Amino acid sequence: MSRRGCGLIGLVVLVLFIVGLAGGAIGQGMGITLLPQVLKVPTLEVESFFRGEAVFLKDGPFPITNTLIASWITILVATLFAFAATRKMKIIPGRLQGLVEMAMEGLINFIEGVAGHKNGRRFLPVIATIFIFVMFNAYLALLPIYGPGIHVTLKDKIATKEAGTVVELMVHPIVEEQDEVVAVVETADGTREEVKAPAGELEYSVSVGDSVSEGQPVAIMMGTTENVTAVKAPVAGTVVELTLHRRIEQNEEPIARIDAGELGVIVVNSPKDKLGELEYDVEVGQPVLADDEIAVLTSAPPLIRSASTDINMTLAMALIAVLFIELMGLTGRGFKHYISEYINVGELFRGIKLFFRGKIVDGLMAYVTGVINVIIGGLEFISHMTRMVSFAFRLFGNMTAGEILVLSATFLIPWIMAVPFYGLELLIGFIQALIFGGLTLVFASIAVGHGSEEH
Amino acid sequence: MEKWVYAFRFVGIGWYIALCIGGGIFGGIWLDSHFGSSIVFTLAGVFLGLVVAALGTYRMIEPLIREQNDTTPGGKH
Repeated sequence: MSRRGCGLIGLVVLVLFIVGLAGGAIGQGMGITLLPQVLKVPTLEVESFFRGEAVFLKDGPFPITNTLIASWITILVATLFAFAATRKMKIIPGRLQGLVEMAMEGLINFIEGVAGHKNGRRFLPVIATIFIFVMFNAYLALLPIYGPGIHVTLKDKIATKEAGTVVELMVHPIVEEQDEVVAVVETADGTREEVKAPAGELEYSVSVGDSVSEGQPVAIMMGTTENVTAVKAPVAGTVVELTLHRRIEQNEEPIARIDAGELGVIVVNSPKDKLGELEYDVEVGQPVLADDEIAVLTSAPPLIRSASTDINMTLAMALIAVLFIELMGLTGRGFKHYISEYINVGELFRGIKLFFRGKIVDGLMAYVTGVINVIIGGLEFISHMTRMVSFAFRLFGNMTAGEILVLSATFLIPWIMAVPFYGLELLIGFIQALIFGGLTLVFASIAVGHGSEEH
Repeated sequence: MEKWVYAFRFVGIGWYIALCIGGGIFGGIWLDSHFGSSIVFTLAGVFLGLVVAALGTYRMIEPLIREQNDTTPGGKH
């Protein structure tokens, strides 16, 4: 490329950087309001940090979380990738086949270099699977289809454009089934009573923490005007939970009407392409000023979220890795040797035996060594079990931190700042895969014993 | 064995120490609240955790120390 072309690209990047700096979170923090509505910075709130959120079968015994869907996608993509690369195998490989061959060769060399030829071939399937799965997880998670919310929920503030008085709040919680639980009331002696309602739209007349007397309406069914029925509290007590939420299920749904005096009654709509739960900040009859906040819309969780940001996922992989290591130790050394690593009582019994035969000094010596052996066995057990935790938390922590980093960078200085962090994430994805696979490999080759090292 | 393999082996040591001490402390606190004895078990837990962490760490790095002594000329007298 010519020098001029480079200069032009540099200029565009610089302009984007400056606009991003001024209009992003940093610029807004410094009070620059030149670009008011161009770059909206959402309020982020950590909703579920350790786990993915259920997106299908929410109330069933096996809720499908967005991280689980992501791991299925990873499996699918890896399988298709391998299939595409090996469908038409040639002696002189094409690009894709060449890439896969190179990667496999690298993996085999890596594994055999540590574990030796014989054990390396035995370890290869598990280690390579772990490596490929972790890396595909990390790389696929960088695609834009992976939830924008990641593990934080976007909260949009909806404001009115005109001043006036709130006439009506139009979104109501909907009772979908007959006798659905709409609230929970706790009596003075601590028992909890559920409040049920007939199907239809309702409006709560109490809030959480209010105390109600028996028969007091908790909510009013909206239905037709002449058919307003009150949902009454079954017992006297305190309202501990209002189970239903106001949901926005259509684009630009009207959410409130405001009497703006001369301008007539105006309608405030929910934002475009945003669905989720709505919470009002105002009440009917309350006067509002222009640009006052009316409601907060909490977006629904993303459909797909990086699988490794779910502690269940990484813990499952850690369990597999540790079980594999222990199994290799068991089969590689035989049951007697394997178990003697944890429960080493041979020396202890020998000491006791010697003691009773009258060799008191020898017996005592053997006895002391035996006690030390038992303690060492315990230490060994603890250190093996710690591996599980360290496996799980290392991967989870690195992946979660990476997602938060990219997300923060995106909003701090939009457009430009995220690019180097995406590059960093590519590197971290590879390194984490290498560490997870490599650690399993090293521990497994220690477990099968030192005799197998071919050096 | 290659040198970086050692690096891999010691990646988990930090977690091991943290979990030993943490486990000792929280186990001690739990026992204290269970038996109502103010601080005895917590202190014992801290001490036990520290001892287990130190012994275990030594166990883990023992082969490295031994190998270094063997390979260094004049390492053993």
